Amino acid sequence: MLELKLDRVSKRYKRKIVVDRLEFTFQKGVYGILGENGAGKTTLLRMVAGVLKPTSGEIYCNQQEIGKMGGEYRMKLGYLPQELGYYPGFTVWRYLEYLAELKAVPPQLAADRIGRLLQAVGLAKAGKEKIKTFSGGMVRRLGIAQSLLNDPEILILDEPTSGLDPRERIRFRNMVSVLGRDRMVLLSSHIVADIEHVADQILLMEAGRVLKSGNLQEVLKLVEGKVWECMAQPGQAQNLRRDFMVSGLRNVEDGRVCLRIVSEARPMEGAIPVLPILEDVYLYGTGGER
Amino acid sequence: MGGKDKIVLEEVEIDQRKRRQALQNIAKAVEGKRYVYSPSGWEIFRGQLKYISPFCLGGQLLGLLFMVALFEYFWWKGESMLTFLGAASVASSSMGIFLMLELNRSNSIGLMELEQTCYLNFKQIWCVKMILFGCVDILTLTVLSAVVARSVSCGIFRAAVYLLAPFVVSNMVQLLVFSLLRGRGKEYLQAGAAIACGMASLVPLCNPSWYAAASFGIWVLVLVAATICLIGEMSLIYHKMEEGEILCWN
Repeated sequence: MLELKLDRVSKRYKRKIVVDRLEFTFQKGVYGILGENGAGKTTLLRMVAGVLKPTSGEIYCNQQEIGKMGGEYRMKLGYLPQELGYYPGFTVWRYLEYLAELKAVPPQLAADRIGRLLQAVGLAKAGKEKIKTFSGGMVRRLGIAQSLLNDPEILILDEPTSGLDPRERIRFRNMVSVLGRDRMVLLSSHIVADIEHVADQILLMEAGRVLKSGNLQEVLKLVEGKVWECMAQPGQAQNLRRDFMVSGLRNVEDGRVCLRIVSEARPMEGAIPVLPILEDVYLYGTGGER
Repeated sequence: MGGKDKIVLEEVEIDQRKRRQALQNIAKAVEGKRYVYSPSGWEIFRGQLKYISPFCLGGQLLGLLFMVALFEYFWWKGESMLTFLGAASVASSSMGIFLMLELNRSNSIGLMELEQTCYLNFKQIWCVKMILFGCVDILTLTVLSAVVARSVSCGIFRAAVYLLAPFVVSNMVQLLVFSLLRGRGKEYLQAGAAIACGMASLVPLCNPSWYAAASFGIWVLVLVAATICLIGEMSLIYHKMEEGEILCWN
């Protein structure tokens, strides 16, 4: 059984602690990592991918420290960094061939696998095109394809859906759900809906620590009974925005404003409790609107 | 059954249900087993050769050919020993640029982070490139040393020191540029540093007594000092790469 264990993992850049004594065990399934900028998501994923070395603590894959496993660990790994690097002069096919070689994909399987992956990400017709001519979304899709080249057991995706249009995002979400059945997928995203749709387990990170983890229902419990909806006049709505965490705001036809508020106590007379969604948890966990 | 009794296979009764079960278990285990392919050293080398920039490798080889042709021309023209020394010094201090540009390629486009997560990570790729370019460097330096030794009549060892000193100093400066700067555009500064080192290597020619036997000790000292600095720089960069921060763009 595949298991990745973080044992009091910390990362410090000069004096700033970015990941703080994190303890968590990942197994098969899709893990969605949510958190605001600077929460430590990317640093955590980089440490798990073996790019960054933890300042303290260790990461174990099936009871073996990943640094000591070396190539054996990297063979299990598929990684999509936040910014995908590529040689501008390479065609899509040449780029994937290059990475297939680095990932030790058997040469007799590489061409077939590249073809199938390009098909899966909707770039089948772009194989001979140079990557420098691609839009941001196409580069992202290429990034997703390269991360799957070696059929990895551990798939690490940092902001995979940024730059994708809604159709591509849906296609990607479906793909990740299928992939998560027989492997470990760690996915970080700012797009709460993506995490909500695909993650079996959600990790809410703040200031380098896991604030809350569990499946969607468990995470939603964090704000159960703390989400309210109310109608207010525009002036009053401004005051409410200042005093409370407002997770939604919509103008209604009669000139009033409908607000969705995350608050321990009823924010105003007439506010009614409503069922929470993941965005409410995100806002609650990350300290509200900034 | 006694310990010495023989079992005749044909007489052993086979439980077909258990046999089927066992075969199914084996098939399942085989299916679950991942096909692990690890390329040989030669396969890695051959693979990487395809992706090395033709400009860098071609430039290095053309540089060698150009120097051979230039020296032939100098022989034909009957140029002085200072001309040979000057040309060889500039060549030896500039030729490291091709390797530095090649190493800088994946760094300048932010590909190192991804390469580090692959089975063959960037350190192994760098090793392949350094071996390849290093071989061409050794070949070039050997040819240059032989030609200089013949024209200056100083022996191949002394000629090698005269050429190795600017070579090592230039690589040290270029590595410094590599480690201090990040992002795109660094290659131009590295090329600039190589050209500046090439120009600087001509300075001793202003006073030919620098190439006299009495000054040879100073050349050896410069070479040893520059080699120590270069090793120190390399170990610092290796440490930074182990930590990983140098690999990440943001």
